[in-house]
Amino acid sequence: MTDSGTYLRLEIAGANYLLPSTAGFTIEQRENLALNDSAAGNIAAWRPAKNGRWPAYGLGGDLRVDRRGAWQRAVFLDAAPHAVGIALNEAQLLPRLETSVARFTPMGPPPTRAGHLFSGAWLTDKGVVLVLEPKALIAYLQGLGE
Amino acid sequence: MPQPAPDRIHALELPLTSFSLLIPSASTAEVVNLPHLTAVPLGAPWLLGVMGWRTLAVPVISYELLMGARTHPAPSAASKAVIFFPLPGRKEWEFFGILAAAEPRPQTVVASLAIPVDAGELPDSPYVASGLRIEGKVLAIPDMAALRKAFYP
Repeated sequence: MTDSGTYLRLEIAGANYLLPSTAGFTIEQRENLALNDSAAGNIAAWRPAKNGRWPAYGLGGDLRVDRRGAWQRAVFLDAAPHAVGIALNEAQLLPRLETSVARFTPMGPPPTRAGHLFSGAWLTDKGVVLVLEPKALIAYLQGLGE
Repeated sequence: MPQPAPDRIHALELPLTSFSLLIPSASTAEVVNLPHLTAVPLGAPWLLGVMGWRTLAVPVISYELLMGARTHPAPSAASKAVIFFPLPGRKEWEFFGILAAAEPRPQTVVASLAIPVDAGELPDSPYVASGLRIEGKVLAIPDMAALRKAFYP
Protein backbone atom coordinates (compact mmCIF):
# COMPACT_ATOMS: atom_id res chain seq x y z
CA MET A 1 0.00 0.00 0.00
CA THR A 2 2.92 2.42 0.20
CA ASP A 3 5.28 3.72 -2.43
CA SER A 4 8.83 4.79 -1.69
CA GLY A 5 9.45 6.79 -4.86
CA THR A 6 11.28 10.08 -5.21
CA TYR A 7 9.34 13.25 -4.72
CA LEU A 8 9.75 16.98 -5.09
CA ARG A 9 8.39 18.89 -2.11
CA LEU A 10 6.66 22.08 -3.18
CA GLU A 11 5.97 24.89 -0.76
CA ILE A 12 3.16 27.04 -2.15
CA ALA A 13 2.14 29.98 0.02
CA GLY A 14 3.05 28.10 3.16
CA ALA A 15 1.37 24.82 2.22
CA ASN A 16 3.35 21.72 1.31
CA TYR A 17 2.67 19.24 -1.47
CA LEU A 18 4.64 16.46 -3.09
CA LEU A 19 5.12 16.02 -6.81
CA PRO A 20 6.30 12.62 -8.05
CA SER A 21 9.68 12.85 -9.70
CA THR A 22 8.26 10.76 -12.55
CA ALA A 23 6.53 13.93 -13.70
CA GLY A 24 8.89 15.79 -15.99
CA PHE A 25 9.61 19.20 -14.55
CA THR A 26 11.99 22.15 -14.62
CA ILE A 27 12.69 24.57 -11.82
CA GLU A 28 13.49 28.19 -12.63
CA GLN A 29 14.54 30.99 -10.33
CA ARG A 30 12.43 34.11 -10.24
CA GLU A 31 15.16 36.28 -11.75
CA ASN A 32 15.14 34.14 -14.90
CA LEU A 33 11.44 34.72 -15.51
CA ALA A 34 9.51 37.58 -17.09
CA LEU A 35 7.25 38.90 -14.37
CA ASN A 36 3.63 39.82 -15.01
CA ASP A 37 3.61 43.46 -14.00
CA SER A 38 -0.13 43.69 -14.35
CA ALA A 39 -2.19 42.97 -11.27
CA ALA A 40 -4.82 41.42 -13.49
CA GLY A 41 -4.81 37.80 -14.60
CA ASN A 42 -3.78 34.51 -13.09
CA ILE A 43 -0.22 34.34 -14.35
CA ALA A 44 2.60 35.44 -12.08
CA ALA A 45 5.38 35.18 -14.65
CA TRP A 46 6.50 33.58 -17.90
CA ARG A 47 9.50 31.52 -18.84
CA PRO A 48 10.75 32.43 -22.28
CA ALA A 49 10.97 29.43 -24.59
CA LYS A 50 11.94 28.77 -28.20
CA ASN A 51 8.34 28.34 -29.29
CA GLY A 52 6.80 31.03 -27.13
CA ARG A 53 6.57 31.36 -23.39
CA TRP A 54 5.45 29.14 -20.53
CA PRO A 55 3.10 30.54 -17.87
CA ALA A 56 3.70 30.17 -14.16
CA TYR A 57 0.51 30.64 -12.16
CA GLY A 58 0.29 32.36 -8.81
CA LEU A 59 -1.57 30.10 -6.39
CA GLY A 60 -2.47 30.21 -2.75
CA GLY A 61 -1.90 27.39 -0.32
CA ASP A 62 -5.32 26.03 -1.28
CA LEU A 63 -4.19 25.91 -4.93
CA ARG A 64 -6.70 28.56 -5.97
CA VAL A 65 -5.43 31.53 -7.93
CA ASP A 66 -3.82 34.04 -5.63
CA ARG A 67 -1.06 36.29 -6.81
CA ARG A 68 -0.56 38.15 -3.56
CA GLY A 69 2.04 35.83 -2.10
CA ALA A 70 5.79 36.25 -2.42
CA TRP A 71 7.59 33.60 -4.43
CA GLN A 72 11.16 32.84 -5.31
CA ARG A 73 11.00 30.25 -8.04
CA ALA A 74 8.66 28.34 -10.32
CA VAL A 75 8.30 24.68 -11.20
CA PHE A 76 7.21 23.94 -14.78
CA LEU A 77 5.62 20.62 -15.66
CA ASP A 78 6.20 19.08 -19.07
CA ALA A 79 2.91 19.29 -20.96
CA ALA A 80 1.43 19.67 -24.40
CA PRO A 81 1.33 22.02 -26.19
CA HIS A 82 3.76 23.65 -23.75
CA ALA A 83 4.90 23.45 -20.16
CA VAL A 84 2.82 25.03 -17.40
CA GLY A 85 4.11 26.12 -14.03
CA ILE A 86 3.41 27.26 -10.51
CA ALA A 87 5.15 30.12 -8.75
CA LEU A 88 6.25 28.92 -5.34
CA ASN A 89 8.55 29.51 -2.40
CA GLU A 90 10.50 26.33 -2.27
CA ALA A 91 11.10 23.18 -4.25
CA GLN A 92 13.13 20.44 -2.60
CA LEU A 93 13.91 16.96 -3.86
CA LEU A 94 13.34 14.55 -0.99
CA PRO A 95 15.52 11.50 -0.45
CA ARG A 96 13.79 8.28 -1.42
CA LEU A 97 13.90 6.77 2.05
CA GLU A 98 12.27 9.83 3.62
CA THR A 99 9.03 9.50 1.79
CA SER A 100 6.74 6.54 2.07
CA VAL A 101 3.50 7.49 0.39
CA ALA A 102 0.14 5.88 1.04
CA ARG A 103 -2.49 5.68 -1.65
CA PHE A 104 -5.35 8.12 -1.28
CA THR A 105 -8.63 8.58 -3.11
CA PRO A 106 -10.16 12.02 -2.65
CA MET A 107 -13.91 11.78 -2.40
CA GLY A 108 -16.52 13.50 -4.47
CA PRO A 109 -16.47 14.71 -8.05
CA PRO A 110 -12.99 15.31 -9.47
CA PRO A 111 -12.18 18.98 -10.01
CA THR A 112 -10.39 18.47 -13.35
CA ARG A 113 -11.10 16.72 -16.63
CA ALA A 114 -8.12 14.50 -15.84
CA GLY A 115 -9.47 13.40 -12.50
CA HIS A 116 -8.57 14.19 -8.91
CA LEU A 117 -5.67 16.45 -8.06
CA PHE A 118 -4.21 14.03 -5.55
CA SER A 119 -3.32 10.37 -5.74
CA GLY A 120 -1.43 9.80 -2.53
CA ALA A 121 -0.54 11.08 0.89
CA TRP A 122 2.69 11.19 2.81
CA LEU A 123 2.00 10.48 6.45
CA THR A 124 4.45 12.33 8.67
CA ASP A 125 4.54 12.90 12.39
CA LYS A 126 3.51 16.49 11.70
CA GLY A 127 0.49 15.56 9.61
CA VAL A 128 -0.44 14.58 6.10
CA VAL A 129 1.20 15.98 2.95
CA LEU A 130 -0.82 15.37 -0.18
CA VAL A 131 0.78 14.02 -3.35
CA LEU A 132 -0.21 15.75 -6.56
CA GLU A 133 -1.31 13.76 -9.58
CA PRO A 134 0.70 15.37 -12.42
CA LYS A 135 -1.82 14.90 -15.23
CA ALA A 136 -4.63 16.36 -13.17
CA LEU A 137 -2.44 19.23 -12.01
CA ILE A 138 -1.53 20.04 -15.60
CA ALA A 139 -5.21 19.94 -16.62
CA TYR A 140 -6.06 22.23 -13.72
CA LEU A 141 -3.38 24.75 -14.57
CA GLN A 142 -4.23 24.69 -18.26
CA GLY A 143 -7.81 25.43 -17.30
CA LEU A 144 -6.83 28.61 -15.47
CA GLY A 145 -6.23 30.49 -18.68
CA GLU A 146 -4.66 33.93 -18.72
CA MET B 1 -39.64 -25.78 23.75
CA PRO B 2 -37.10 -22.98 24.30
CA GLN B 3 -37.94 -19.55 22.97
CA PRO B 4 -35.79 -18.54 20.00
CA ALA B 5 -33.35 -15.77 20.80
CA PRO B 6 -34.54 -12.42 19.43
CA ASP B 7 -32.73 -11.08 16.41
CA ARG B 8 -30.36 -8.41 17.49
CA ILE B 9 -27.84 -6.23 15.78
CA HIS B 10 -24.93 -4.59 17.50
CA ALA B 11 -24.89 -1.01 16.35
CA LEU B 12 -23.35 2.34 17.10
CA GLU B 13 -25.23 5.55 17.72
CA LEU B 14 -23.14 8.19 15.97
CA PRO B 15 -24.11 11.64 17.26
CA LEU B 16 -24.05 14.49 14.77
CA THR B 17 -24.79 18.11 15.56
CA SER B 18 -28.57 17.94 15.16
CA PHE B 19 -29.43 14.24 15.03
CA SER B 20 -27.81 10.84 15.32
CA LEU B 21 -27.01 8.06 12.90
CA LEU B 22 -27.42 4.36 13.62
CA ILE B 23 -24.56 2.38 12.14
CA PRO B 24 -23.90 -1.39 12.25
CA SER B 25 -20.88 -1.89 14.48
CA ALA B 26 -19.47 -4.35 11.95
CA SER B 27 -19.03 -1.51 9.45
CA THR B 28 -16.79 0.50 11.75
CA ALA B 29 -13.09 -0.13 12.26
CA GLU B 30 -12.32 2.26 15.07
CA VAL B 31 -13.39 5.43 16.87
CA VAL B 32 -10.52 7.83 17.39
CA ASN B 33 -9.90 11.25 18.78
CA LEU B 34 -10.04 13.77 15.98
CA PRO B 35 -6.53 14.70 14.88
CA HIS B 36 -5.59 17.67 12.76
CA LEU B 37 -7.19 17.25 9.37
CA THR B 38 -5.28 18.28 6.28
CA ALA B 39 -7.57 20.12 3.90
CA VAL B 40 -7.97 18.67 0.41
CA PRO B 41 -7.87 21.64 -1.98
CA LEU B 42 -10.67 21.86 -4.51
CA GLY B 43 -12.37 18.94 -2.80
CA ALA B 44 -16.08 18.49 -2.13
CA PRO B 45 -17.37 20.92 0.53
CA TRP B 46 -18.35 18.02 2.78
CA LEU B 47 -14.83 16.58 2.66
CA LEU B 48 -13.37 18.07 5.84
CA GLY B 49 -9.91 16.76 5.21
CA VAL B 50 -7.65 13.76 5.43
CA MET B 51 -6.01 12.20 8.47
CA GLY B 52 -3.33 9.65 9.01
CA TRP B 53 -4.68 6.46 10.60
CA ARG B 54 -2.37 3.51 11.13
CA THR B 55 -0.52 3.45 7.77
CA LEU B 56 -3.41 4.85 5.77
CA ALA B 57 -4.62 8.24 4.59
CA VAL B 58 -8.29 8.42 5.59
CA PRO B 59 -10.65 11.11 4.29
CA VAL B 60 -13.08 12.46 6.89
CA ILE B 61 -16.46 13.86 5.95
CA SER B 62 -19.19 15.93 7.54
CA TYR B 63 -22.49 14.11 7.20
CA GLU B 64 -24.33 17.35 7.83
CA LEU B 65 -22.59 19.15 4.98
CA LEU B 66 -23.13 16.12 2.74
CA MET B 67 -26.85 16.43 3.48
CA GLY B 68 -26.80 20.04 2.40
CA ALA B 69 -26.16 22.06 5.54
CA ARG B 70 -24.58 25.37 4.65
CA THR B 71 -22.19 25.43 7.54
CA HIS B 72 -20.69 23.04 9.98
CA PRO B 73 -19.61 24.00 13.48
CA ALA B 74 -15.94 23.67 14.16
CA PRO B 75 -15.00 20.37 15.79
CA SER B 76 -14.75 20.48 19.56
CA ALA B 77 -12.61 18.64 22.04
CA ALA B 78 -15.40 16.06 22.28
CA SER B 79 -15.43 15.37 18.54
CA LYS B 80 -14.45 11.94 17.29
CA ALA B 81 -13.65 10.43 13.93
CA VAL B 82 -15.50 7.18 13.28
CA ILE B 83 -13.43 5.14 10.85
CA PHE B 84 -15.43 2.93 8.50
CA PHE B 85 -14.29 -0.09 6.54
CA PRO B 86 -14.24 0.43 2.77
CA LEU B 87 -17.63 0.37 1.08
CA PRO B 88 -18.49 -2.68 -1.05
CA GLY B 89 -16.56 -2.77 -4.29
CA ARG B 90 -13.91 -0.31 -3.16
CA LYS B 91 -10.21 -0.90 -2.62
CA GLU B 92 -9.06 -2.51 0.59
CA TRP B 93 -7.30 0.71 1.68
CA GLU B 94 -10.26 3.04 1.04
CA PHE B 95 -11.34 3.47 4.65
CA PHE B 96 -13.22 6.68 5.34
CA GLY B 97 -14.23 8.64 8.41
CA ILE B 98 -17.35 10.45 9.55
CA LEU B 99 -17.02 13.28 12.04
CA ALA B 100 -19.03 12.64 15.20
CA ALA B 101 -19.96 15.48 17.54
CA ALA B 102 -19.31 13.29 20.57
CA GLU B 103 -18.32 9.77 21.57
CA PRO B 104 -20.54 7.23 19.77
CA ARG B 105 -22.69 4.98 21.98
CA PRO B 106 -23.11 1.26 21.52
CA GLN B 107 -26.69 0.27 20.80
CA THR B 108 -28.09 -3.24 20.63
CA VAL B 109 -31.01 -3.18 18.25
CA VAL B 110 -33.52 -5.92 18.96
CA ALA B 111 -35.61 -6.55 15.88
CA SER B 112 -38.82 -7.19 17.77
CA LEU B 113 -38.45 -4.03 19.81
CA ALA B 114 -37.17 -1.59 17.19
CA ILE B 115 -39.86 0.85 16.10
CA PRO B 116 -39.61 2.11 12.51
CA VAL B 117 -39.94 5.85 12.20
CA ASP B 118 -42.14 7.68 9.71
CA ALA B 119 -40.26 9.51 6.97
CA GLY B 120 -41.68 12.76 8.28
CA GLU B 121 -39.63 12.43 11.45
CA LEU B 122 -36.37 11.99 9.57
CA PRO B 123 -34.14 14.51 7.82
CA ASP B 124 -35.24 14.83 4.21
CA SER B 125 -32.14 13.60 2.42
CA PRO B 126 -31.14 10.91 -0.08
CA TYR B 127 -28.40 9.97 2.41
CA VAL B 128 -30.93 8.82 5.01
CA ALA B 129 -32.48 5.47 4.17
CA SER B 130 -34.81 5.06 7.14
CA GLY B 131 -34.90 5.43 10.89
CA LEU B 132 -35.65 3.67 14.14
CA ARG B 133 -36.93 4.89 17.46
CA ILE B 134 -34.78 3.48 20.24
CA GLU B 135 -35.30 4.46 23.87
CA GLY B 136 -37.53 7.27 22.68
CA LYS B 137 -34.87 8.70 20.39
CA VAL B 138 -35.05 8.82 16.60
CA LEU B 139 -31.90 7.48 14.95
CA ALA B 140 -31.37 7.81 11.19
CA ILE B 141 -29.98 4.94 9.18
CA PRO B 142 -27.63 6.04 6.39
CA ASP B 143 -28.23 5.03 2.80
CA MET B 144 -24.88 3.39 2.10
CA ALA B 145 -25.56 3.00 -1.62
CA ALA B 146 -26.20 6.74 -1.89
CA LEU B 147 -23.06 7.42 0.11
CA ARG B 148 -21.03 5.29 -2.27
CA LYS B 149 -22.35 7.23 -5.26
CA ALA B 150 -21.53 10.55 -3.60
CA PHE B 151 -18.08 9.48 -2.46
CA TYR B 152 -17.00 7.81 -5.71
CA PRO B 153 -19.06 9.26 -8.60
